[in-house]
Amino acid sequence: MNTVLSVENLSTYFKTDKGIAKAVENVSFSLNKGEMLGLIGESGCGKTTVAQSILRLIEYPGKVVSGRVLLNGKDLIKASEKVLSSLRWKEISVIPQSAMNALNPIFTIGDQIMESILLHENVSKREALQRTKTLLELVGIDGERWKSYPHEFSGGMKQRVAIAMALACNPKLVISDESTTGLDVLTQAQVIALIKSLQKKMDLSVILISHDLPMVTAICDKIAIMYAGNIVEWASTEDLLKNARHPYSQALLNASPDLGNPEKEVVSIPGSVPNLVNFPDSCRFHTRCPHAFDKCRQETPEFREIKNGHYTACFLEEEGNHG
Amino acid sequence: MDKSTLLKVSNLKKTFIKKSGTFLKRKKTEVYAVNNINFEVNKGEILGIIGESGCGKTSTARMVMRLMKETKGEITFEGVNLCNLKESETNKIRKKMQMIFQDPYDTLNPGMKILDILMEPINAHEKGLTYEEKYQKVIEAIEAIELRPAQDFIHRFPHQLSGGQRQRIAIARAIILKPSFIAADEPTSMLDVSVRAGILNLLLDLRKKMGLTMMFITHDLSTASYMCDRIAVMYQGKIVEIGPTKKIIQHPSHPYTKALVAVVKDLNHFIKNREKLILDGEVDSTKEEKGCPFVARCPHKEAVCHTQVPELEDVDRGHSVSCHCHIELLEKTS
Amino acid sequence: MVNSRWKKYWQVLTSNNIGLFGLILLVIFLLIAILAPILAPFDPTDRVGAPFTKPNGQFLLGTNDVGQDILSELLYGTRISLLIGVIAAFISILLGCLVGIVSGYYGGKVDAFLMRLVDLVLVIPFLPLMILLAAFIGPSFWNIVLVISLISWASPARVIRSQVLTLKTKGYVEAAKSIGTNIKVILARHILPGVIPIALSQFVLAASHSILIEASLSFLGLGDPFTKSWGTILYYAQARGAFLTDAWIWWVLPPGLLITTLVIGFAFTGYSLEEILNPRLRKER
Repeated sequence: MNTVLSVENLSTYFKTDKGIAKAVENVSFSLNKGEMLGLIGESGCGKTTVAQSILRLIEYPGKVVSGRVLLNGKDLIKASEKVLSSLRWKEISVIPQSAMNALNPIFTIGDQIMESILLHENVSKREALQRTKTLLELVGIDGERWKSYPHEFSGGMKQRVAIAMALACNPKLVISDESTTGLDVLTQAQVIALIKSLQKKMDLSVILISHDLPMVTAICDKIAIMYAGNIVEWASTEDLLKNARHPYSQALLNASPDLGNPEKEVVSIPGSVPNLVNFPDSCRFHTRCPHAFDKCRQETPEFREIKNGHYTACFLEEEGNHG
Repeated sequence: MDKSTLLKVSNLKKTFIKKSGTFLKRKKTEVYAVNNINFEVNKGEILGIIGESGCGKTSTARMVMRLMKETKGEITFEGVNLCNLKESETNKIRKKMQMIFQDPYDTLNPGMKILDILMEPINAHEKGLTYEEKYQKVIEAIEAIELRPAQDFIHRFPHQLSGGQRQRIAIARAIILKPSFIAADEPTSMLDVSVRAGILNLLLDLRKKMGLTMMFITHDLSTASYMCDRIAVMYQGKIVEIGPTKKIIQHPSHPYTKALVAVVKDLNHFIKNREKLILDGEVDSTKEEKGCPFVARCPHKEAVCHTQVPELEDVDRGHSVSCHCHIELLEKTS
Repeated sequence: MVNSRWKKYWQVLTSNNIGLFGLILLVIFLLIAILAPILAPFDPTDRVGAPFTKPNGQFLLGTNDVGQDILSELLYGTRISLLIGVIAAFISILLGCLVGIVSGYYGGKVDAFLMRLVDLVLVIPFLPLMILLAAFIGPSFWNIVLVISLISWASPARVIRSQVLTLKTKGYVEAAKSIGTNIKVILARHILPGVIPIALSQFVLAASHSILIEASLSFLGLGDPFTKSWGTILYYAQARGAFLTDAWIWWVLPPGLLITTLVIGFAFTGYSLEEILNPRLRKER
């Protein structure tokens, strides 16, 4: 198998006044070469924390308390700062949530992309500029615009620049953290289309973090659904759409209207997300789950494979009495 | 005016003045937020207004609700032209038209209890009631928005409620006076997916029970198609297409609507046929365009598109499009 | 509603050492002012000893040029200094609130006019103006209050205006408007509760200012000669040459220290109040 990234039992906790918040608990998944994984969840479910943990960007009061993150066999959690900085950009890079924050307003975009190339690779300035132009062309921006400042671009174009920057050192793995949120529907679709085509062209592995289920199901090969710090289900997109096993996944699929199916009745999930501080041993979804029984309130279900490549964490599977 | 028309907006315009240049050579450019739009909302229907951010949909709602003054145009509600009313008369008519805002975290005063928040509309319009009658109305409103038991909620502060519950309280505040018209400005866009559906269904339910007429503003086509009887698509301050939801979704005629429907219906199809659907382009709303506002991003543009502004024309009963190429386009698609 | 909010302010105020210290100082001064007749060994207007007596067991801080007990004068002076400071600050905050709210809420030309007025008051060199005013309308308790209020309403007006501007854009204010609530009710229910805490901290700071101004005016001989404040005591000390003799230690230093301490008390309370109202300054805890 061509596994690029493998996350095993990752847990990240945050210290708060009121106790330990288990923001990410026992998360496992892996990503093959050239694969696109959608990491889906509502706000506050811990999907960004997962990304930050993978990149070792968690800072006090947060801490990765256990687990391994293997990038091509190297454990990033144990790696030294030096090894990490050699891996960032060249092996693994991020398209950030908001391009405004990623781009420095007082430098031209060309300078910023060149800087990241020069910092990580031993190339001449001229070569770096040449590559910058190629990168801009790649994301659909005229290469001669490298002299422009960020404010001269619209939101969608800035996001393209951010993508070009993430690809500057030919990484193998790109994490896109809600990189299209806040853009208009059409611009968003265009940026997503760009990411998809680049992924195919460069044989990239991509983790697409998003809260937009229809978008992710359209373009990702595999999907991992997060709820309150756990991955509750991880499967190929096809499996998930046809045969979602976890009650939360099922509810999520029924929660948003579908243009292709006007008769569909949307259903909301009752209740609200539990407070993760000092969360007791139990299934985290039990407070809102229509199928919850005693065991769900007392024990944490194990995240396990129920079918080839289809993982879920739900007691209904163990009991074999899934509706 | 048709008997069943509740709200009629005609030739509504809103411009902002942008000042530039030096002190001596002051240049004033007019920026159109809303540019000459016309639509009607019939009794009992939900009209969706969709468009991207900055297209003027919120400005339209704010003008209808008299929170913003129009530059030009007429807004007729139940036969009364709202634009000529005095402040006190406007306040009276507000009893019949209420608004639900986008951000439930911002629209409830954090220092007031739910009871006081819901008392506010009653105190403004039905001062004569006794405290018990007012209290009863509040309880009824909270029960109508499905927060039960109501007594548990009235003494809480907004920060003790979840986002979805807050939006429900905002809805309760809007319906407590039993208005005939409600403008909802992206009421679900700040909420999590799992509670969105609840708010949408609640609004549909309330419409059935109270016979509400609604203007539903959103940027999400699938939400609009779930909620609305008719949809108006706005682009750059103009309505580019308006018609029954079914027709808009199944036979979109304006290139912008087409691209929008393609994205939401089947993203993969959109990705494959991107060039045919929409061009990459930057939109500068301050530039005075002579032609069609969509021309920079339109894949079908003709010479006339650059020079002449298209008018909204009826293509099929109640389905209107503002595009020079729509007849040819219709032929191509059918 | 109000209860829990004030409770929170109280907690933050008292959890902050500086604020607590300031508050304790203020309480001490308030007690001195109220209990002056009990605390003071003599009536400050009575000639109880020989003029220019040095401190001894009977007159702890000696006597002045006409034989009045300085300690008693100081204790009674607390009343005047505190009263002038608080009344002047109150009037200037009232004026500031009015101008700030009107200017912020109505905006437009009213706002432009009022803010230029504020600018005007702020740029006038205040000491010469005050001396002129005080000299012109004559020294009396109420004239001093008037003079101080007239020049110190401008800066609170500006702070309150900016607070009103932020409150005005809040969703709940717009929602109240769309409901049809009339302007008076919106101002009273939505704007004012947000303004009062700011006004309070401004009040405390203005009070410390007013006390200083009063002291300087009185020191220059423009104070009310019949109600002796700390500034007036300093004026007489200076006029009778206390600065040139040993007498400065018991005649000049004590009123000076009292003024400083009271101002510090107000300033510390004011700063920590500001911290409460501006959560960005609040320490993470």
